[in-house]
Amino acid sequence: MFLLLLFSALILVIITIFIINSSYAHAVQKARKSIISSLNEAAVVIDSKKNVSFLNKPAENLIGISEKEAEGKPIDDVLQVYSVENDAPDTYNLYSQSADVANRQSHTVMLRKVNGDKSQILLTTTKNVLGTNEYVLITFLDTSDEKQLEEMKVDFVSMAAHELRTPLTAIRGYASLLQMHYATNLEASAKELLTRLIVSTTNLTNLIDNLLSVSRIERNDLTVEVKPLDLGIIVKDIFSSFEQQALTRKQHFTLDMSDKLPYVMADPFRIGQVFINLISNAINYTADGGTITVTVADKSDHLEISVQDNGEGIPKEAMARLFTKFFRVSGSLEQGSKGTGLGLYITKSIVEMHKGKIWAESTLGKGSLFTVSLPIATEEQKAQHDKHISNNAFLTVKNGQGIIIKKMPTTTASANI
Amino acid sequence: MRKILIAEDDFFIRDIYSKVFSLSGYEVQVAVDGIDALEKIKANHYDMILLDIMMPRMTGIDVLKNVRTLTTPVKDTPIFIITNLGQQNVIEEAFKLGMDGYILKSQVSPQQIVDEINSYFINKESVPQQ
Repeated sequence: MFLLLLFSALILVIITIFIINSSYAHAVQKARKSIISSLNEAAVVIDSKKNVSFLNKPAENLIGISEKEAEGKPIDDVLQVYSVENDAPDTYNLYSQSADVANRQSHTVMLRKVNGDKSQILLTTTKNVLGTNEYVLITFLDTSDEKQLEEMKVDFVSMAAHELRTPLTAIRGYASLLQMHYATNLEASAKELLTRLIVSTTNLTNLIDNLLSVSRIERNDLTVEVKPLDLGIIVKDIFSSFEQQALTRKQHFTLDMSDKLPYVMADPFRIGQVFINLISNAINYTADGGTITVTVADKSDHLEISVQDNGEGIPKEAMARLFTKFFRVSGSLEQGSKGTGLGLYITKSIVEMHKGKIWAESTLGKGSLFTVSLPIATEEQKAQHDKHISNNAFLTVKNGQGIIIKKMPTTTASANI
Repeated sequence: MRKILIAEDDFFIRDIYSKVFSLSGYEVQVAVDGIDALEKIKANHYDMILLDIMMPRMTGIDVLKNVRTLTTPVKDTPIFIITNLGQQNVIEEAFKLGMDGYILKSQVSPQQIVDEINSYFINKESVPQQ
């Protein structure tokens, strides 16, 4: 009897503990729910079966669905997301992609609302909410406005740059006309001022061109038109255009390349910009008397083009951000207005458009090595573009920056291409 | 003296180009838009035509197209496009239409354009016509 009593008491205690515990858990869950409800960010909680457990007001508004309608429904029916790139329904596995707060990631996707409208959203999934592993929290923000603002910014930069070009061309033109044809009787100091004027307008022109390239990259508007190309000709051409500049700096400037190179698929103008950027950087950031070596190596399935210098080098902490927009290595300020912080960003973008890679190695005080790797053209690619080759378009690079494209006499063109 | 037509709608750039070509020994005429250019091309003989692309009334590409379809010997006048439009498709179209050279305005000095035109004439004389 006593035993029975003890046993029931024990059971009672256990039940009480259980009730207290679960009501505590319930209270916690309720508190968390009310926190989620009060968020400004849209939030949907789904259970382990990927059905909607509940959603807050901002989520209701953004999707255009009421909590009642959504509750218990599969998440894929309630939250219809598409990939931004190709408008295809995203087979997004929301549940398996979720991670806990510390490790979660956000994705930009398109949301199709109940009324058919689409919005770009930034979506984050978080596991382990409401105190249990059972639930996944999906939060999302409408970023359409930000996207639009970003587009407006890019458009503005592009428009401003275009508008600046015309008057700048006039300033540069008059300055160089003055220098070439009217400056003979000027005193030396006036000639020097004129030279500075021209250098500054040239820098400004480069800056504007770079800004335009960046805005094209950001609008996915910068196109590359690849054709089978003997990169050797391009590199040699660019190399020669810099020889004079290196000579005036008393730099040892050499090109190491075999005569016969396999073709790569490349856009001659764009890929030219890459090597112009890398070589001009090497010359600018290497002291007088330094050494710059350009190497083109055949690595059987790709070509590696490297530009090595023994210049000032790049600090370790700068390496990670070297190819990002508007990044300039601090301490390179003494270089004056030479760099815009856009060159390497543009360079990397162009290389990647060619399915190539670019990387840098550097030791502060010892020099830098920039390497571009480009895949070699397959027979198939070459055959496909054979018709293109017979086009008589040819391109020359002048003075390391200007381009003049001319039709070459057919005989010369076929010898070159 | 070689006679050259410069079609360019911007007053200053037109002025710079005509000055630099005159100073380099060319006889220069100018056109302020595409229609003006086409009319002058039909009425005169030029050794070289320089066309901007973005011009009022008629683009340089259309001027090029029109000139190349003429039935008079004028249709074979050498034509260089001098523009800020660097898009590959524009360049290729101009090539297909039979232009002889394409110069990106913002990238070169006026003197470099003259040098380029000079070397075009030198090459033309040294390479036998096909």
